[in-house]
Amino acid sequence: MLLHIPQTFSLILKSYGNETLLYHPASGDTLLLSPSAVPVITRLQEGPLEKERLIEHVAEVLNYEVDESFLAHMEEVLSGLVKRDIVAAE
Amino acid sequence: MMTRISELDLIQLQSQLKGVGLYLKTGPFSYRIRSSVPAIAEGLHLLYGDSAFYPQMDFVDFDIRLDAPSRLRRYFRPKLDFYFDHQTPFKPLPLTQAYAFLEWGMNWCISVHMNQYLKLHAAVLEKNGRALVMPAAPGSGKSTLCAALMLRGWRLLSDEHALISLDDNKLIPVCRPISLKNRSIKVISQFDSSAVFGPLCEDTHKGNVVHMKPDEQSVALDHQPVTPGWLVFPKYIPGADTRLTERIKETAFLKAGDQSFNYSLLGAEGFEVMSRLIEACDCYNFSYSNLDEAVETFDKLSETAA
Amino acid sequence: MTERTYELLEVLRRPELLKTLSLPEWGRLIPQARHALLLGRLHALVLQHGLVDVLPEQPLNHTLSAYLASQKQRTTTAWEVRKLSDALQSLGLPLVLLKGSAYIQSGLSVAEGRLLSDIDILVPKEKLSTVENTLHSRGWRSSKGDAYDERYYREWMHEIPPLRHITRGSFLDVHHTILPPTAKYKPDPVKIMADIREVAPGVYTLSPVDMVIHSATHLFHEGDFDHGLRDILDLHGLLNHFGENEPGFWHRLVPRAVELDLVHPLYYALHYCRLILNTDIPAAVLEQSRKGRPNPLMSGVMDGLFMRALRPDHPSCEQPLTGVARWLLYVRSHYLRMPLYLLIPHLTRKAWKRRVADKTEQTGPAQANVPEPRARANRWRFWAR
Repeated sequence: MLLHIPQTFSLILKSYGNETLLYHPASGDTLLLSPSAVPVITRLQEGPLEKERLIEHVAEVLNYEVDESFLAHMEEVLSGLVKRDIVAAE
Repeated sequence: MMTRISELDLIQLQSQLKGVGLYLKTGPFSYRIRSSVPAIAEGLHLLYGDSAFYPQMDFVDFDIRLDAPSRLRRYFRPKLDFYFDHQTPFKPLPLTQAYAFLEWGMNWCISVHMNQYLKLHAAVLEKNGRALVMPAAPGSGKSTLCAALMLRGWRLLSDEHALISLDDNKLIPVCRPISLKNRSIKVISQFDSSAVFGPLCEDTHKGNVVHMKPDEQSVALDHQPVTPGWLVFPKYIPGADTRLTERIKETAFLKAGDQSFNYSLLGAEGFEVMSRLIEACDCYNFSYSNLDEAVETFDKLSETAA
Repeated sequence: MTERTYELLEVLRRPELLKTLSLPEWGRLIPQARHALLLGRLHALVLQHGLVDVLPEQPLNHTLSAYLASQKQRTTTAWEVRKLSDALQSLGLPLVLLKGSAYIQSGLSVAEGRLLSDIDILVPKEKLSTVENTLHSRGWRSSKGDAYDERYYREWMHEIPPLRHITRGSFLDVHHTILPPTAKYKPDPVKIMADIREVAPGVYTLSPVDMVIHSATHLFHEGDFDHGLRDILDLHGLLNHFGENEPGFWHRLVPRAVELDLVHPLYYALHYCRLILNTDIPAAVLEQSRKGRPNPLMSGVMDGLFMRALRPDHPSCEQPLTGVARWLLYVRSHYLRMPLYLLIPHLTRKAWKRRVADKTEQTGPAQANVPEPRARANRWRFWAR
């Protein structure tokens, strides 16, 4: 599955310490991001990526082991981002 | 030489209100107020005495009138309508609530019409050149605290609206009376006997309501914006110790946004302005029950002004 | 004229007059524009004419404030259009926008600073229930609780009851034709659908001539004169824009209205645009449209009624009779829309409902309690942590 952030969204991120707020100008939503959602967005802002590669990237950034519980967590994070129209899946 | 409203006697003010209207400037806004209700004249006379008197104005932002809907109703069921530009946006209220109705209507004019600021429902005061912004839901003890701080020398910018400039993030004053409810009325009159109160409105939808006069200094500085300094979320808890605790910024962002009248409307600009406000402020939670201790805490905080 | 009472109409006709207004004149203009829902439009005119820096700041604060609200609506509308187009694409149907949202999506200057209360879309009648089901599954729900209202809409109107999105709160009107099936004129929706125009992938508007004819029909048959001036200004903007930019527009306009059986409202639209806003309409087109003209006696009466009703709804613009004029036009528009036997129960029911409301609340329906100072319509989504 290829994931991407539509160009038209021009998401705005603001970090305070360890926490990040996201403003979604197109939908008008403001969100407080979970720490594992942040690298997903910053990576996808550079360009589209396959889901598996993206999960590996996040694990690397956060220094996590890619095990079953991490995969389950990332599934949840990604489906949440898709549901909120921040990330699009093809 | 500027004439003040206090230089008019009550009869003159009444005839002004019944005739062309009283022109009032408060912060960046101007009002024209008309009413034949005696309590409105008394309230304005008591609470806006330090404001300038204008015999006329070429342009007013808000043209409002409070009067009985019909001659008949004046006798049967004394109720009042609030007219804004000849329309009545609210259901009528009993005559006994006249003065509060005026202040609520004046607040409404600002909260629904003026989107060229980021607006928070908050009390704003100033000391040592920095603004203390206290966003809060009704019932949090915000106005009581605001009244106490003003009575102890803080400059009042507003008890109701934090108007944040989209250009330079400063707090724009709109200095009007402080609204006190129920128990706070007695608390404040005991806290400082110099407090001046307007007409008491009993049994409103918020209980008993009275408005308190802003001090002369605050009214005189009503045109000077202030740089933000502290963002504090107050909470009155009966019997609680006085506690000021630092609050992490991103949750302060969300909580302040929750008290905004037009954060969403301003879109990305709202997000930017709110971010800049949060970055410029030290953010705290504050719980209290003792007003003297509360004032002492904020006085100490004001010494941290850069 | 020593005192200009109709500032709004004058500046809409000739925006360059904005530079000449005195502050007291602004003081009358701003409330007039607020009542007519044209504050934001006024600001757009100020911007288009590069006048922000030369006009007085105090009145401009009011136009700017409304303009900012309209800008927010544009963003919201674009997002809703995206969601709707997803929904209809899943059914293999085009999303056909009507009125305000169509003007926005076509990038028309008349949409600049304009407020809209809902999004209107047109779907083929035979697809109506499929569309409704899909919209329902995506969160759009009926906003009418009353069974009578529900039946009224479904049986006699050209819409299903207005829908409201459960999380986003946006309003949506789904139409299957542009006039109710019971109306005196019977435009064929199939013909209209056959001419739609793509403005973005999967997103369509009516063709330019149909857009004008629909706008005319809406104003002169639906009895919605509360915003009469705004709607006539829309028409003025559409005619100006398409007249300049759309080859063959003037040539096709009247024949198309004849084809759709809507030449009457088009006649009124052209006639009153010219009368009220001096719209530049080719003489030949005006002449052609006269086949939609009522008989001379009626025509004189209508002029009196419309000219009054289209004035900004503000006491500084009232002439004697304005209220009566508005009411007569309302009755007329209902007469054109429904057979008489139906009209009477509906009007009386409306009146009755209003009376009941008056009795229980002692006021008209549009009023609210004194509001708690409360954050309004801020949308927060918290991430589950």
